[in-house]
Amino acid sequence: MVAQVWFGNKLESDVYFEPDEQGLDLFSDYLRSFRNEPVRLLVDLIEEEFRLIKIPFLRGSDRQSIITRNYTKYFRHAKYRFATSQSVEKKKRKEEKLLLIGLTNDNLLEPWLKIIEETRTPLSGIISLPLLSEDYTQSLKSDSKTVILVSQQVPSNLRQSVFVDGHLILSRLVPIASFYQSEYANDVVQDIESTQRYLISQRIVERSELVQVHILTNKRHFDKLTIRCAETKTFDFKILEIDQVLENQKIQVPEDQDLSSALFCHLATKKTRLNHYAQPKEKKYYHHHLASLALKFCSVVILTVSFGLAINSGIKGWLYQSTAIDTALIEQKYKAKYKQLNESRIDSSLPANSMQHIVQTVDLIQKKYLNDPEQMLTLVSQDISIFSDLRVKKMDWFVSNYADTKEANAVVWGKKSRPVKAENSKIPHTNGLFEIAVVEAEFLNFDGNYRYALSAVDDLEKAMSQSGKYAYVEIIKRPLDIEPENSLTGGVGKNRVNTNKVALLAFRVVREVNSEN
Amino acid sequence: MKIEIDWFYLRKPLIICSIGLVIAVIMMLASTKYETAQQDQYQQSLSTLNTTHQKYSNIIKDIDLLEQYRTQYTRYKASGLVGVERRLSWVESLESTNEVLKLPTINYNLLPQEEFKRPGFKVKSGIDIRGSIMDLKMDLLHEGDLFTLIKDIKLSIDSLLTVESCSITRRGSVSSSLNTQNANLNSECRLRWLTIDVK
Repeated sequence: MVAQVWFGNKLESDVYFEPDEQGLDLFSDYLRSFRNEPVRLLVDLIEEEFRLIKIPFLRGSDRQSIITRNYTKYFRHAKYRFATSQSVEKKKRKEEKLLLIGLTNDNLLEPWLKIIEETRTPLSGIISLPLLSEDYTQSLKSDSKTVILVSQQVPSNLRQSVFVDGHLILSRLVPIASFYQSEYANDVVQDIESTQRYLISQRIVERSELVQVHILTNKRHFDKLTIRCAETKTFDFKILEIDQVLENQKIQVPEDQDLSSALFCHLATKKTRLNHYAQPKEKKYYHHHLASLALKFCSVVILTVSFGLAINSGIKGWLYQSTAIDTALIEQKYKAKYKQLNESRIDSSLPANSMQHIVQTVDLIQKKYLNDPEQMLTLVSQDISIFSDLRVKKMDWFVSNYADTKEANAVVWGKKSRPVKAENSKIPHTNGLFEIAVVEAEFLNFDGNYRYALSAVDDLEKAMSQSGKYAYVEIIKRPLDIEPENSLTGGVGKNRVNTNKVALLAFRVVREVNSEN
Repeated sequence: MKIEIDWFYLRKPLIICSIGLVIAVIMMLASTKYETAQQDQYQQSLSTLNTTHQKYSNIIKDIDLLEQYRTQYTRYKASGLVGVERRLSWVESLESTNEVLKLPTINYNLLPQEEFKRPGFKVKSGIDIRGSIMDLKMDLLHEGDLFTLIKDIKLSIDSLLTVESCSITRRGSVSSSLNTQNANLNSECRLRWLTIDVK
């Protein structure tokens, strides 16, 4: 077991643990020193088997039940098994090509997994190295259909993984004893040839097909392998020096690498969610680790948000405080000005607004409510003076709130005592402020010619109505009551006592008072 | 497969989360309390400022009003338009007016003060307008005497005086000629003498 600590692209340390009691104890202590850092287990075992199968193209539980049946068929006793889809073939019916992989000996992993669980180390996944190397192979951008990737993670075993169209078909881990000896290159090529023969026998490759072989090797073996591979024309060899590969991938390692474990471990560190074999129970502490991270993240979020809100409230409070101070200063200034004005103000027993109301009210009354009979009586006198034989006996002038008020005594100011409309009056019962003049007159030296007198009254009414000086003109008494609705009494005849005849006239004129008058 | 939760493993983040929550609540409560207190103080100071500003505005307005209306008001007060009704002055004014006009008789009758009412007239707040009805009975040589009398009374009392009604009646028959020595007309007038006072 090799434990590597990675920090980004940098290999910080790697420690080797023997699979014995002491090694397991050391591994336990080693994990405890990491305080629950998540780990990934990359397996590179001889006991890993590969089966390429075809199943009907299905989804969901149907697909899963077929996979389970195939697990039972090929990996009956294997606890750690995994299926990965290679491709979907469209023939008569759709078929899915699946690669089943499984560890045939669980006991190899169990002691290590037990320690991982005991130390509460979060295990994010158990990853198969050959399956992981699929990604690396795809990055090689080979133009050959079949590629064999040869690598060595431990000195004792040689890993050969076969990829067709970029997909892993099978992988072999074969013991090699000559890692530190001169026959190494020869043994590697022989093993590759052996793999080729197996591929031909399984009809995975054609006999004539040129297979591309990528060999990851160290500096020490690079030249020998290059010379040896050049002798063999049946393969298209690409010899890759591991240090050069690491450098190309910008992977930093403390010293020159003899083996390619650093490359695959680095690939494994990049795949945070990758898992081939780990069961939910084995990932328990990884889930706990995620929950722990989530809780910590929530704590940070809560603290940040609350801090933000607190700062916001604090700033608001501070702004309120500073504004309150400014407000107090302004208030002090107003107070001082008020005091100064109050001291310099002319002392008055009466509030200014009362003074204003008094002056405004006086203005209003002067403008609108001060009445005088002179103007209207002068107008009426002028109108009567046109008729030289008319003499005024009596003139009543008054102001009223209704146009049809009969006499001055009937005027009631205020709303409650509203008078009823005068009977037999042509003047409408209009509310407002009116000047009313009632004039009684008599015809001078009347000779009994009522026709003339009535005609003169009509002329007077017409003249006053058409003058536009009055709102209403109403004749309330004529020299002779000839209207059909009135009664008419008198006497004619030779024997009748001669009495002085009189022709009386009374009329009412109304005009509205407004501020212009 | 059900996974048992290892609370011991999670104790640290749980404690951190709980403490964080408590701190957050304390921070928010404290800051909110501080903000509310400062806001109240601000509102109080704003209210005080508004009151003071209102007083300041009122005094400015008062000064302006005093500047504008004081002269007129003083004149009204001096003339007796504002304040208690001066009935003695009225009698004196009437006598002095008639000394010039020399009307044969003038009888007067002052009724008790009452509220002044007119259509569309509203009394402004803080003041009181009252009017005394004055009935005048007089003999006139001609109608011009009436108008002169009213004009002279208005001038002499320098107050608000409105005529509400006037009646002029010829004493003799319409055919008789006018006498230049004695009264030819009778007249009755109703005047309303207004005074304003502060309530």
